[in-house]
Amino acid sequence: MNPVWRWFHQLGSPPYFYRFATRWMPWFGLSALVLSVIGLYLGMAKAPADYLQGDSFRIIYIHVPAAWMSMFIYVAMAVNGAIALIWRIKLSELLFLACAPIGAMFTAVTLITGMLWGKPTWGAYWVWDARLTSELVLLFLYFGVIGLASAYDDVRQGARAAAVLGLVGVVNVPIIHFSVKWWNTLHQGETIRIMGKSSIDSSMLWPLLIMALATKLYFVFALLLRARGMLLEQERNKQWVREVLSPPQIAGGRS
Amino acid sequence: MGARGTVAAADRGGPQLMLAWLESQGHWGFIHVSLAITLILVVADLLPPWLQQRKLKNELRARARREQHRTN
Repeated sequence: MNPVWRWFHQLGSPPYFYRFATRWMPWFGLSALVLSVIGLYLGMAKAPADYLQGDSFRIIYIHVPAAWMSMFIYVAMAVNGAIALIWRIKLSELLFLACAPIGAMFTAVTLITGMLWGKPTWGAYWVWDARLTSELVLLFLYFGVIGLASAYDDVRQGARAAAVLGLVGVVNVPIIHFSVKWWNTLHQGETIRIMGKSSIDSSMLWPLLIMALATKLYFVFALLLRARGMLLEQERNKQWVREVLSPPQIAGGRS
Repeated sequence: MGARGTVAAADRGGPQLMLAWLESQGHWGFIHVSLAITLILVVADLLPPWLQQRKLKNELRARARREQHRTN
């Protein structure tokens, strides 16, 4: 078997996932923290002020990476939801459930920092613009997934029911992304392009890319933390949990 | 927003007063509030699962210790 596939299969095993999460979580958390400090320092202190928006443009270093993550996490959540529905893999159900609050947090950060950017830039905290409205719908979708999953006593049943809602809501992600192209919106168009030249100077772009990487690492850290806790709760009566948590002398002399 | 705006906002109550104060701080006021709210939301995202996990781990360790005592 291909080593990557073998690793994926192993990751589906609860004890393996628990050990993997415990080992790698601090590294993801620490890297996210270090990169956030560097990114924010470069963005807040070193990048020049925008010629039109002045210093208020610096909110970009929180708002834009958070907005990217709000959509990225939704897609990651939906993929795990699809796997949970089709193959009924326990770990995918947990990852699906763990994604929702992190995604909701990033969506809330996007909306709040967007409002705080909107006031000095547009003169209004909120307008019922296509980009803003579709992002608000994303927040409601996250809340819907969290609420529906917690309405069930059985965690696995709740996860699968919420996965259906999660999958239906995926349609909103391209709407958010293309809203600035499909409609005349107050929200500015694409500034950064993967294909083609970005309309942002490199002195302003680098801190943004660093912050984007920091938010990705934070997501992995928070995901592992939440999924590990849920796994422990679900498998609390299993022998492997006793072995993992017990000191060597309690686990029957194992080291 | 100038002094006139602040006085008018004071007549409208707490939230309006807070917004009037924020707007009087200039661009850096908006940036600082953005940073503060983000930090609060990140802490609110991480703290509950971390505390819950710590409590659960302690509970499971105590149970394992009790079982060990019983078998001894």
